[in-house]
Amino acid sequence: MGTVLRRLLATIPLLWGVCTLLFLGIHLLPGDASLYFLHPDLPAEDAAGVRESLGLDRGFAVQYGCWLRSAALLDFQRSLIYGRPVAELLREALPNTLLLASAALLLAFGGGIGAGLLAARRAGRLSDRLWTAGSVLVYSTPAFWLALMLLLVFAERLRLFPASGLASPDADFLPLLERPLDRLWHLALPAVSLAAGLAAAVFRFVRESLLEALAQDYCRTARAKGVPEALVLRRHALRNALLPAIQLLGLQLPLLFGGSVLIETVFGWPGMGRLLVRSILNQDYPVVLGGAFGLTICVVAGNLLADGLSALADPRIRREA
Amino acid sequence: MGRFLPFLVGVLLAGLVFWLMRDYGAGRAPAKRAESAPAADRGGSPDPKEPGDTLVVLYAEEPDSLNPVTSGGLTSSFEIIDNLLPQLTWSDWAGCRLTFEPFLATGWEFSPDGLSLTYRLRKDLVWDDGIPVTAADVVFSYELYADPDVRSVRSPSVRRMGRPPAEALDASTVRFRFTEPYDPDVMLSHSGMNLVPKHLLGKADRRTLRGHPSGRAPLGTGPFRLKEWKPGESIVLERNPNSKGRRVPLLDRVIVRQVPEPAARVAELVAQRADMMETVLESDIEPILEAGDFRILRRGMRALEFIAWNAKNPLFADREVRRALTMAIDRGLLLDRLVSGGGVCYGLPAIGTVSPLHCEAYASDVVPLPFDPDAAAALLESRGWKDADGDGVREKGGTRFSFTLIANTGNARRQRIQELVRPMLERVGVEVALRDLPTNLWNEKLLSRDFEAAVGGRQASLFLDLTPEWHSGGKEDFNYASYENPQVDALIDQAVRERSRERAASLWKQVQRLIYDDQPFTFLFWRDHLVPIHRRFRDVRANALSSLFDLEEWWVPKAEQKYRERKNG
Repeated sequence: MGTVLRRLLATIPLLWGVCTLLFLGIHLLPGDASLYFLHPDLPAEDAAGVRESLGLDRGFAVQYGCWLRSAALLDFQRSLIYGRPVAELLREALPNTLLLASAALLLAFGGGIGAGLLAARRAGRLSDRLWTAGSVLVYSTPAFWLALMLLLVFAERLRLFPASGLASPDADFLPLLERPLDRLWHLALPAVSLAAGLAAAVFRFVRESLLEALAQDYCRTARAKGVPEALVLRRHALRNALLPAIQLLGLQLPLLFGGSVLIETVFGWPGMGRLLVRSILNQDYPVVLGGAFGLTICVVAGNLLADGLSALADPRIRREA
Repeated sequence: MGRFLPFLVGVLLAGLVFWLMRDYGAGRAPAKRAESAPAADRGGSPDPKEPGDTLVVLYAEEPDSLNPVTSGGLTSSFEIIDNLLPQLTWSDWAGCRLTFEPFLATGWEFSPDGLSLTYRLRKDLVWDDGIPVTAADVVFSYELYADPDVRSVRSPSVRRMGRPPAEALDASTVRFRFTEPYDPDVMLSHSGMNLVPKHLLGKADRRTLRGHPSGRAPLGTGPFRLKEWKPGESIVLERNPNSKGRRVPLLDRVIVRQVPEPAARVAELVAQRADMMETVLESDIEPILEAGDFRILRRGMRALEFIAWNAKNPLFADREVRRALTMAIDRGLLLDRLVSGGGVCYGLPAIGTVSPLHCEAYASDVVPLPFDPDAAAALLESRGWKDADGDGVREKGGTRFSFTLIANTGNARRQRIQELVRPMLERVGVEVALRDLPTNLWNEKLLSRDFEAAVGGRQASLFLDLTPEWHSGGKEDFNYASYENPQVDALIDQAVRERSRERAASLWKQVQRLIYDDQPFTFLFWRDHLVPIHRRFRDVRANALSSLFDLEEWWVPKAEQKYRERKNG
């Protein structure tokens, strides 16, 4: 419990650092959010009025101070563009991103571990080499490029999956049972795009760890005692081999959320990534900072979860804790 | 083993998800969709029109608000708002100009001095909550548009009105006051903006009006009403059975979906998961037409692309030099490469910022400068720009003719213009460096005149007023080229106050001729606004005003209707 508390307390300076850097970054960019409201026919004095009404005429330090004070009270101010409370915008977008990220994690770990098992069983054979070469290829493919290719092939050419959105336009007319399937259908391409790189990494970790574990004395002993190979793999080797993959979960979470920024834009997925891209382009700093705050908390929570899972899988970690 | 349960469940679920998606994706679409009617049956519109079906429209961006006063000016916002909220007049684009018909107003009259415009209102219109629409709502709406605390992007439309802009003479009569007599079309148009209910917003804090909940749940009286807003995803409009407009709409619903990625919009359309795109690139027309069930509507030439030469820079201060640069640029090639698709050119050569849509005032007699690199080189030579050192770049008084041409990233068309124009200018001894900037930075550079040359664009206004772009009055931020010509200033001042349409048109033509002679911009081309739509929709009109124009008249024959309600909600 003490560890969890310590980690949570350490999150506070982390959040401050992330948000301060972002605040600096946005204010270093030329222009500001008032450009969104400028119209070719708006006279210069009106344009100045727009800046003033948005509070952008105040000095950098004053804006920063105001934001910091509000954030300390967990009030993330209002969006400069929408005028709506940032918390409300986050409440709409965050669940969609969490859904996408969870599906991607499930696919990445499910696929990566499964493929790792298959490859380790056939180590050195053609299928293992193909799996390994494929994983290098997928790992080195940029997620946004993969997303565009999946979109062109599976949505535009083959028309097997939708290219955009959370649900079909006629989802309201579908029978109740079909609606969740419709959601899954829409989740497919974004989740696969986001999961691919991580799945390749998990596969490589699991395969290497399994091969290492299978060469250990305890596995050799099990085989000598007549335990079938499949059982040796599952029951004796896999548990040890999973540890690095679980630690990978904590490391990859920030990349996963970072990747969702691009993937959500390509697939029109209404999550945090799309909200952040739009807000960065409009220099809507309260939304950008609020979003970064929310995602940082998700990353910290994910890391805590990964630590918990590591402790579950490895009794030594439990004892240390 | 129990400790590994979560992982095993994960693997199983992943398999299940794959399985579900494979079967569902492959088998679902044909089962859901009604067959489209054969092409031969798609001829004239039978009478009477049949109600039903849903229109699914794709937009790149989600509206920021459905409050017309506070919305930031996205196309999606105003095209939806026009179908939800009332206006005093119903405007159309007929021939060469805007026309006006009664909507909330039963009629109107101008005062003899041309300074005021009085509307008589219908008495049977009510907001969606049953409260009547009155003159007080009109007065209140215009107070909001004019209030600096509200910072409405539509405030320029009330700039020529007095304060307050409107007054209620009684519950059903309202008078607008203008600071000077203007073109009647401008007066009608500026007084015809969407209205908002006073009883809903009267007590709202105007400084935070942009975030008022009514922006996402507007109260209207239009042909449609908002059924649902799924943030970041779609906006569902449903037919308003109480509509007192020209008719109750025939379509059951309109679903406006937001799809930011252009490739995804095309994929959704050709897969028939949408019926219409708000706009499409010329290069995407071919795959859409190949899909077979779509046609392309042309909304008219409103989008102009140009290269602005900053006259404050000594390189571009000389009018003859600017003319030489224009002659060095092959604008025909740009039209061919950038605004053509499927063998059809969807653009026109440009000679100014007045759109050819304004056919009465458009100076069609202006002959574009020819593409003639030799003549361009000779003209530069005659102005003292010579390549003395033989390095391929001209010099004059120790200054090399070398500059940076900026454009905004994310606009592929403008980046192509940069790439195509550079070798054309290099051919006449002008060195060009290219630089792409994020849109806000590019915009900032243009507004502050902190650039040498810029590829830019403009959406032509539906009212003729060239003050913001070309008047040197000093207040205007959008005279990017820092253009100054006292004769043009005087003609603009005269034209905006001219109440005779014919005389105003003649003045605007003179302005265009003078500006084209001076070449503050190289006007590249106008491009058409193209809208793909499914063929099953009949009586569709998309014009210069809106892609969703006259939506209450759109309909689909029963046999071709695609979306049929099986159950509510």
